[in-house]
Amino acid sequence: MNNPPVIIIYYDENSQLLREVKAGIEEESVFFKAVEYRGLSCEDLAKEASTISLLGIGIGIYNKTIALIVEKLNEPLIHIQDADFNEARRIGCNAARYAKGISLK
Amino acid sequence: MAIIAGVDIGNSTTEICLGSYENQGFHFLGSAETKTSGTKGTLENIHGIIQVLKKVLDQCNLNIKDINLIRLNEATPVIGDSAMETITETVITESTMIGHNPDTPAGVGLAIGYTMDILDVEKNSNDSDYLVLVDEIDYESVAHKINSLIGKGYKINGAILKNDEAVLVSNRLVQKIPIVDEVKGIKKIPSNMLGAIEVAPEERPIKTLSNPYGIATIFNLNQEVTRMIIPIAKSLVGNRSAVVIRTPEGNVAERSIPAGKIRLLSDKQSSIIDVDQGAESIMEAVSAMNKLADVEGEENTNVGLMFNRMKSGLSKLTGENIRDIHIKDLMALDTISPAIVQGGIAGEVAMEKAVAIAAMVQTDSLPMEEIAMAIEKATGIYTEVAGVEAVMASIGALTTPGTGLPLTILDLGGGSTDIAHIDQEGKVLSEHFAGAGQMVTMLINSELGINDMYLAESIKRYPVAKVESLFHIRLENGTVKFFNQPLSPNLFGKVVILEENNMIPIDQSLTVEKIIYVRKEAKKKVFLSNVSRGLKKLSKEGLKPHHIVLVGGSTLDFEIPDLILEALASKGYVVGSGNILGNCGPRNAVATGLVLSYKKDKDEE
Repeated sequence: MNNPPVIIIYYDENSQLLREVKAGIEEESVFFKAVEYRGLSCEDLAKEASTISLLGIGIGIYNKTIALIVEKLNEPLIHIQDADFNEARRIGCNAARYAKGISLK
Repeated sequence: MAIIAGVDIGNSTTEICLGSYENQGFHFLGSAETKTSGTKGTLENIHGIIQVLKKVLDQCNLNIKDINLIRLNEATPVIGDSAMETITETVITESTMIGHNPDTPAGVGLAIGYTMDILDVEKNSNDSDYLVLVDEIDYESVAHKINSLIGKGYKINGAILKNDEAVLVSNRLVQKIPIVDEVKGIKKIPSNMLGAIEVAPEERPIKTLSNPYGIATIFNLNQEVTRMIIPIAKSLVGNRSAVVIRTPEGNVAERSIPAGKIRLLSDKQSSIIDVDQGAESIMEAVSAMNKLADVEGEENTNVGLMFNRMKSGLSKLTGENIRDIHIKDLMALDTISPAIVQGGIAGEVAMEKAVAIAAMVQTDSLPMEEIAMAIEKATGIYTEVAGVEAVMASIGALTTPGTGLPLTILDLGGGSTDIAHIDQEGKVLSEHFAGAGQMVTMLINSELGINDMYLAESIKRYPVAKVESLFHIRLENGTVKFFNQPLSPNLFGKVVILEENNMIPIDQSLTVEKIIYVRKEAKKKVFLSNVSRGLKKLSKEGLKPHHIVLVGGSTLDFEIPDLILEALASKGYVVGSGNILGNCGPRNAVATGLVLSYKKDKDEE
């Protein structure tokens, strides 16, 4: 059986920002899987997540920094330091929009 | 040996042709063009002329001292301009309808009930049907509350949310209901009014609220009221979701905006026409006038202001009194223009009817002698004004392989479309028409709702593509272009204009198909109408054109010559883009004509 086509979120610590990222993806009706993963920087979390995800889309959350990496590229598509709730929601939304091939907000 | 330069100052481009006469032989040496500096016919043009001189001298490896004579065209003093008048507006009173079509509504179906803030429902009895209104409440709490209310026996049939959270709420509901979200002005929705929410399945539009009888069924409307709610149904056609609320005074009305009158004057008559009668009526009135002597617009209307602007512009240019400047031609086209609906709750946009008008002012002459003297002063080369533009253009166009006399040329410009016909005896007939490249840009700008003339100009000139991934784009013709570096995230998923080496994203939600359709239609509407008017004029004079050469800036457009060929070829005309001297394409017709006519003029001296 194949891996399901999900966006993978690796987070260092559970937080309200994680909830917002998940909400952004869910509103766009795309699937995700969130897993706690300690010991890596935000970018590395995102890179690792992108590698594991069947869709090639990974999000890393470390404290208030969130990164979105797609296609295992080195540079994050979106990278926000000190994200607020709206920005976190939007990153989730954009990760899903990327998966659907529609333009980002 | 004499080296002659022909310089043509156009509205947008200044062109030069360099040729040498040795014994009886003529040799073409080179050609160049540059953007016209300043307005055509003013001393500001000198700068562009010097520039284009340098360009062609560099090309031919010559020095300015090598040129014996500069011939400047007697530029036709024509200014073309265009403006638009919107003639309808959609107004919603008392928050009667929501039709903004959010991206992610939820819960397919039709819900009918009384509007009520979600926090106020429990203050009422549970025997009514409700549509809950939700302001700033966390989505989990919203779902929890709705589940709880339904559990207590309340009939919550639908929900309207301020935030973009319809799917989030719906996923947590025990019983699925239609939900419309992203309603910024939710506070404006009146409470305790009967309303209906409809959400269609993803692949379809709504069918009840976009149907006047559907609305009549829900709200039990009689024949008279059903007629009045047509603008509501019309505004909701094609939406995936909508809300209609029955407010006592509320309504959606499509009103006519008085767009003002235009007065057409000819030698013998004058007629007044209302702009909001539409383009067809205006054009009928224009052709009923045998020859237009002037046009006046009503004060403080867009069209009235445009007429004044053009007349004062040409007056300043020529030094003539503004009262002596007249509008010689008018072209009107019906179009549509998206406008924000007044009173809308969520930024609804309606396509309003508009009339686009292009006008053309003409006067007797421009101060070309002054410009000639200034060029002579600046370069030390003897400069003379020679040749009527239409004649020079025809001589230049005749160097296109495959042409012969009699010849018809169509000069497709930015401000005007000109037709000229030259016969075997050398007799030339020419006419200028309002409506050209600039009007095409204006139509594209309004029909796509872009509100940005530079972007509209780019859309006119360049093909588009869809960015399908970070590594590939799909062009208009279906070809896929692949990149070896990821594209910028702000291009992802967007339609882009392929402008030279850049990709310019279009932020509005427009599809490639829509852009292509509007672009081609705008070009056809303007140029095919004018080509037709031009040919009619020739026919009135007893002339039968058959070889037609297209020249001018708009002929360089990647699809305009093809659109014209398609329209005229089936009627037996030979029509195509000029190829001056067999290698310049449709450029440089006048400049080349100026150089070629030197010998003839010299012989006649």
